[in-house]
Amino acid sequence: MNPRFGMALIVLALAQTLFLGAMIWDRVSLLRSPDVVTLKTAPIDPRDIFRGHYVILSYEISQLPLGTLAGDDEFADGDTVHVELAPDGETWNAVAAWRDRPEPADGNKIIRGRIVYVAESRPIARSLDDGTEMETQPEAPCPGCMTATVLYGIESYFVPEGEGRVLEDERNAGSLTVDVALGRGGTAAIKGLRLDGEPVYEEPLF
Amino acid sequence: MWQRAYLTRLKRDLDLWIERGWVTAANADAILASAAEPGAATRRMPSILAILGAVLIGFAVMSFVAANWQEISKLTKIVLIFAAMWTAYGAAILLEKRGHANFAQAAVLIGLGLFGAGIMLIAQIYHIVTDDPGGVLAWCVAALATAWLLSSRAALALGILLAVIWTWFAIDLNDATPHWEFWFAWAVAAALALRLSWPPAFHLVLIAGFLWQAINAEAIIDVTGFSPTQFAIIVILQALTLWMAAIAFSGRGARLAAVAEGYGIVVAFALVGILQGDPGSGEQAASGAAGAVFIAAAVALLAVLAVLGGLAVMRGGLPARHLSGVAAIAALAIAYPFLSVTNAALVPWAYAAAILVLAAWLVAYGASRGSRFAVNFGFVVFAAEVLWLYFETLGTLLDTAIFFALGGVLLIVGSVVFERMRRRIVRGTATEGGEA
Repeated sequence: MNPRFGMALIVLALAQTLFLGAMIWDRVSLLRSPDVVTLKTAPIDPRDIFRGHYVILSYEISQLPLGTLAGDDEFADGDTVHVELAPDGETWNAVAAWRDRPEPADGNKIIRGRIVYVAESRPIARSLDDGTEMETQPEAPCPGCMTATVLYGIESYFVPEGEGRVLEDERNAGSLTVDVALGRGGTAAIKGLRLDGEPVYEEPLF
Repeated sequence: MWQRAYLTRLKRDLDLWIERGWVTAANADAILASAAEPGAATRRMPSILAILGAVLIGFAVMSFVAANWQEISKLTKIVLIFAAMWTAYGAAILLEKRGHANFAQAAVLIGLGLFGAGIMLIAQIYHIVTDDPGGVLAWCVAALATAWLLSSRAALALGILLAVIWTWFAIDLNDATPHWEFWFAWAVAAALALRLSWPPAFHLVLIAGFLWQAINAEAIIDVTGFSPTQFAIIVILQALTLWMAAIAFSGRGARLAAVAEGYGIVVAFALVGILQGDPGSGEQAASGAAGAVFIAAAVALLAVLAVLGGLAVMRGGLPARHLSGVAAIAALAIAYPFLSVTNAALVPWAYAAAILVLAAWLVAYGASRGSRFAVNFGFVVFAAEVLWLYFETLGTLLDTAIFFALGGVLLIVGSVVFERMRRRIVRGTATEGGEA
């Protein structure tokens, strides 16, 4: 037998165990965070909701209208964004978006995300006759302009096999909100789901 | 079945060799008896089956995790996965101690599978996004570290596969820039493939390198400003460079060189073939910033290609006349954007003729280098090109007639060329035999 084999394997197994342990520790400490916000989910195309046995969640704060929010405006695909959330009744809304982590206003909290796409310009209008580009007035309203699509790492919610459809039906019956724990750096983790304010899924630490 | 066919052929050859006095009857019997023994493949069968079993167990565990079965608490699942991982590694140590090295490797692979399943389980329990590249990277690092510490081939293969999945997830998450970090994992995998001297790993490493370019193509095009056609041309030049490098440095690792040469040939011919069917898309050939970047990249690659080609000839790996074939492929690639702008209608036919000639050249190249792969691939390219021409010309009866007439002339010319080559080779062999 190669004398190094056993020792090397024990080192590898220990390293892997430590890594998995660190993953659990990181998540448990995040979920124990006293900072919890409740976010509204946004309506999404039901055909795209399920992939396998998890639910894709989209939030109102997944689409940030950079032009109307305070903070920085210049973002590119792949940038990190720190979104300042302020309470609005039972849920929380985005009030500002920053490149670097700011000190939030009293009572506000910061959630960190990554920009996947920025719709910067107004859509090009083309003539129906010959497809040529048509001029648009600069002052014309452009609701989708400067809107950033952001991922926060809380877009997947795993459900037991076969229960995804049930959750979709429940979601359609009322307004689904998500309790999100926030770490010090703004890292987010799903803590539970609520329907009409009542918890329907609550995540135990283990 | 193959063994039986081989033995039949060998017996027939041996009878001929005995008749010619090259082999004695006693030696022929010994050779036949040796050939009839179970081959290496048969001896390796148990370990191959064990590795395949390990792969299936890995998939079973991952499916179990994916099912998200609620009858077992999360904590129990975590404990189970940790226990199973340690049991697999413990079994590997025991099996290695008892001299079952191959089964030990299978147990190591199961352990690695359980580590990956552990990452998935924790991601599932805490709702970490499904395409998080961090988890795949951790798994990839574990597999490559295992391959390095335990000289495990299966772990190396898993590590290369995971490196590709990692780059896939990373580019899916952020396609603004190419996923350059992949090349760290790739370099480690390539070094390990060399260290373990395992040809399947060479294949995987080279496939992974080209797959990275395919997966990152959009991001590379965005960053460099290349057009898709220009990007294809750069990849053709890379493939030719790989081909020449394989010959130039074949003395340092013949098996890796043979594999690399094969991929260089396949990628170069495949992309030139794709170019011929895509006339008129060679826009931005040499204009603006994109043109300048493209020209700089192409010139740099051509310079490296020239140096490596010269080195391959100087070191005796490549007869000088065959440089013209490689140069012709490079010229076809470089000329494409210009020709497709100035004379798009001519491109498919000019390139089809060139590819037919190059296919015949590849056969000659393979014969002179003793590369059965190059010879066979040359025939494959020829057949594929003839089929392409057939379907492209099959518009009117007149076109079809032109195709058959041209094809017939080409085949006859080709047969004359081949006959001349055959006579030259036979004459050369006879002279060598006479001198000996």
